[in-house]
Amino acid sequence: MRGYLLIDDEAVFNTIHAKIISLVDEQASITTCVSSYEALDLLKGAAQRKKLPDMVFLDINMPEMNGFELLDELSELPGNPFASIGFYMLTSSLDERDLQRARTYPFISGYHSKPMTKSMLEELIRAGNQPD
Amino acid sequence: MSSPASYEELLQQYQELQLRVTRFSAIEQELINTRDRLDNELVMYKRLHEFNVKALALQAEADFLALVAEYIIDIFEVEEAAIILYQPSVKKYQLIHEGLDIQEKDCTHFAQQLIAALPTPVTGNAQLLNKEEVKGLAFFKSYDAAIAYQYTDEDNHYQLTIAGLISTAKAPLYAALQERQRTIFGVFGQQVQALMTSRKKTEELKKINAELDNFVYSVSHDLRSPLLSIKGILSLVFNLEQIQPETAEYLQLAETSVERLDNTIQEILEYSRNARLHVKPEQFNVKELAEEIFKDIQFSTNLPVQFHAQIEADPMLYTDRSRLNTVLKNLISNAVKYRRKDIDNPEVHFSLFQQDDHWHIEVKDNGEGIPEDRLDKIFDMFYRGTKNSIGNGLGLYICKEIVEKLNGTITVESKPNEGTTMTLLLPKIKES
Repeated sequence: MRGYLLIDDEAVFNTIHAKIISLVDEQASITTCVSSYEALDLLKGAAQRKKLPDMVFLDINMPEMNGFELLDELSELPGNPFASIGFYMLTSSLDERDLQRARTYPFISGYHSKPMTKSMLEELIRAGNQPD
Repeated sequence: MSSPASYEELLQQYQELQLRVTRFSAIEQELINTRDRLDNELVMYKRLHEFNVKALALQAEADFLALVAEYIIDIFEVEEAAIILYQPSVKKYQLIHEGLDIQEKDCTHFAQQLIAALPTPVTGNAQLLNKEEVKGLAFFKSYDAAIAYQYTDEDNHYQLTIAGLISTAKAPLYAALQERQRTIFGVFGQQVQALMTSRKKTEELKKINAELDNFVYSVSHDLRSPLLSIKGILSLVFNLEQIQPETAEYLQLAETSVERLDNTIQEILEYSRNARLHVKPEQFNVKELAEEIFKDIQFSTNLPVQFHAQIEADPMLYTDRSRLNTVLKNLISNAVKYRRKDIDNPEVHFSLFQQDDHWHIEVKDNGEGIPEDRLDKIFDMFYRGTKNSIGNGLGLYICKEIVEKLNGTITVESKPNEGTTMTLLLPKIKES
């Protein structure tokens, strides 16, 4: 069973993306967060327990703590725990600088435009299953 | 024949000649002095020019002001230079100096004293200050003379004072700063004023531009977000098992409208960026860029189109990546969008060649093609070549605008039902 974490302040996107995931992966275990603080607590705990989700989808433009600020916090965690999972940016930003900035985080596996589609997710799962 | 001159007459003639010689040598000396003075001034003006050239190349304000201080000492042969940037709104003094032995804590006091020593009101000319006038500055050293220029900017945001100082210890005389030095210092002061004014204006423009840029991004993001959620919801509805054909048709229309609005938002953003921002060249791999763009389109459309890249030159380009990204995205997505639906092998070919000092980039498809009578209009603003598309007629117009900004050309060759080739010729930018 694959674990998914969706982080977006707009709940409607979490709902849509959760549905898309369950269409592609019937066994999916999906968690959603509407704030980066919530996600930070959750990911910190999961990293400690070594029970990280298999795929994380993170929005950029969020109030209080945006996606990059969350990534900065996560980068501080010891042992680089996110290197082994699929950590994706999922955003409606058209700012090229956001893409460039996302590239500077070594554990970010990809940068995609909202909304998530079935074909996008299928492709990501396929790519994730391939041996490195 | 006249009679020979008497001794007295000869003596008188001799004395007159001697007088003339003295007068001539005085004139000669004066000419030499004038020549030297002019030579000297010429050297100073040359230095002023040199200062101007150097100042224009500097980015940071602190570097610019340090250069001003350096040149005050250099050109005007004073020992010390002081520059005071005063902001009346916050009553803040900033002292930049060269040659002054002054502690951080005394800077504001010194700046206030120097400004107070200047006669008011100060005009656009340089001021010479004598020993009496610079006396107030003597709290840590005694001065013999100073030369200064001061101005306040139009909006009263700051006041700039530049000064050269001569200390008593070194004992050069007040006379060392002569009237013509004052004139040249005035010219120098005006030069600094003009440079500083244009720096502040540029800074302001940059700030406005950056704010506008963030505003445009923020607005486009906020406009797109609800659209993209509608797009997502529609895709979920299409995945429902029981859906009436009529409902599906209406939803398809809704999706098309959403798509169209999203494209328009993106293109307005691209147009505004291209018009406003400077060309910012960087090194990048164009093959990887094209492949990424195609992959993104594949991700969102999932259409059965093949992508081929043919690279016959070094794929590392040095140009404006963001702009080329916009152009290639438009061309590749057009190639996918206008594929022939009646064939099994729709393809997009991306190729790169070198052509003298240009890059030759092609995006070629085997799609619908464009009728000949429309070819010369496709780069026009708001021109839409086909009623079957959801475009707004901005895409290729923006491509043309961008390519022109990069000093290149974009051309099209096309035959209906055979395909279209878009060719970019981009001049190589020299890496600085």
